[in-house]
Amino acid sequence: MTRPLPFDADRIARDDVLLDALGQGEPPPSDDEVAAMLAAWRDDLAADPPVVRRPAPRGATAGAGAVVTGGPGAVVTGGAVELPRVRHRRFSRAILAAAAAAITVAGTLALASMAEPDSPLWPITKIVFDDRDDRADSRTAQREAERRIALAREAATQQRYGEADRLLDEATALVEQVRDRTVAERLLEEIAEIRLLLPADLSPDGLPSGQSGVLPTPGPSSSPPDGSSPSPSPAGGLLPPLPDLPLPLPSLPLPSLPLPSLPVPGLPLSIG
Amino acid sequence: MTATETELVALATQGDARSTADLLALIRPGIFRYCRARLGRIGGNFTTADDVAQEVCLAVLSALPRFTDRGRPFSAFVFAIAANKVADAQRAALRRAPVATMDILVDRPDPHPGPEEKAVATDLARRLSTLLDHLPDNHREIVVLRVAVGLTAEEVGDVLGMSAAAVRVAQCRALARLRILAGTMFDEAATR
Repeated sequence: MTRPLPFDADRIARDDVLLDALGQGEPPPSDDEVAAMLAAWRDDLAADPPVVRRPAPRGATAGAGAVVTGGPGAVVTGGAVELPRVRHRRFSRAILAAAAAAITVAGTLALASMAEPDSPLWPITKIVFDDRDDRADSRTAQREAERRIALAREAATQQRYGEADRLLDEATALVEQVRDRTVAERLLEEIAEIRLLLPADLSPDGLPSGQSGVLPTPGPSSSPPDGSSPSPSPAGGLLPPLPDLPLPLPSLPLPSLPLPSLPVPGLPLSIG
Repeated sequence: MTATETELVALATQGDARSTADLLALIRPGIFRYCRARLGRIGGNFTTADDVAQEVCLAVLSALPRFTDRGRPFSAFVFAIAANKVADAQRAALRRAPVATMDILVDRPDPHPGPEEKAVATDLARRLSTLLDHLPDNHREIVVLRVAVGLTAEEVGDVLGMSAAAVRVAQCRALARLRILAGTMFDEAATR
């Protein structure tokens, strides 16, 4: 079967590099419109100096008390205020290490549960799957992926779409570690099938947007216009959820055809 | 040199005032970026977002002594508080003025347009903000934490309770969707 896989490891890696760069404040690549928009959006967040009002009493809506411009951590440079971009990788590792130390002292979390080999002090409090086993064992990854696919299918049928979406992302990541390509293809197709059951837009409680407490967007419904969602190129990319189109049903009864009687006149039944 | 970052959280949770101040200085920019990214400009400025950010900082400080008991990564602790405060602000805005809300929330054009480059950049930022509204909440959260706050995929996974690999899958899908939405919304500019 030559159907393209809805999973492109190269694109995932490229997007990860792009997001790392954007997150560090780097200028976007010149040929990427969405990257340019993300960079402009990111830069706009630091365009105005933070105006921090003294904390108002609970229940007050208007700011009360003095208005302070800037504040700790804000650096004014040439009229624009920099919200200093912390080197989060180093910061977070250190913070998490400190948290781990504090937790260990409190005796509530065993060091053994911190399982990331490249950052041994990171406390992992919610172990989705055991990294050590999966890196060494493709079968474990397959089993874990199949388990999540089953859970996602169950969640989808029970309309817990947000949970299903998250489980499918986990499963997709696990399939990457499955060495048997036939098995991997089968799993990815199952994942794609379940994704078709999910609505186009998910809110935190799994309901299509408009039915939850999130901000309504002005204008028409935010689901993709019927029939006009382009699919990603066959070379790779991930299947977008399809719009909810009704299955075409035949409206005309099939004409009853008379059974042909043999032989059909005019047709030679044998050559020569 | 004062205490290293490694010891800051431990000392701060034990109530050391200097470490608490240093810790706040470290996390404050990320909190402000997060709130500004999630709430956007309201009435053309970030005043509301900054108010919420300040509330988040205070909430983090007051909850610090309880942090060790929960046994979760510190970044998850901070951004869970931030997400809740942002959600509270959004609900309050909806309750307060249902009719006027749409006007408040729709970003008005800058009444004092500056140089051409600035206008273009602001327009791009506003367009992206509109596109983000059309993402599923989980995808939007990932984009905010990755691009606006600057967390790595691993750190985002800690915050959202996902594996780093699953974050990479989800962020890729989010970008794909943004690209499709950008092409759909601005057909005349898209060349495919």
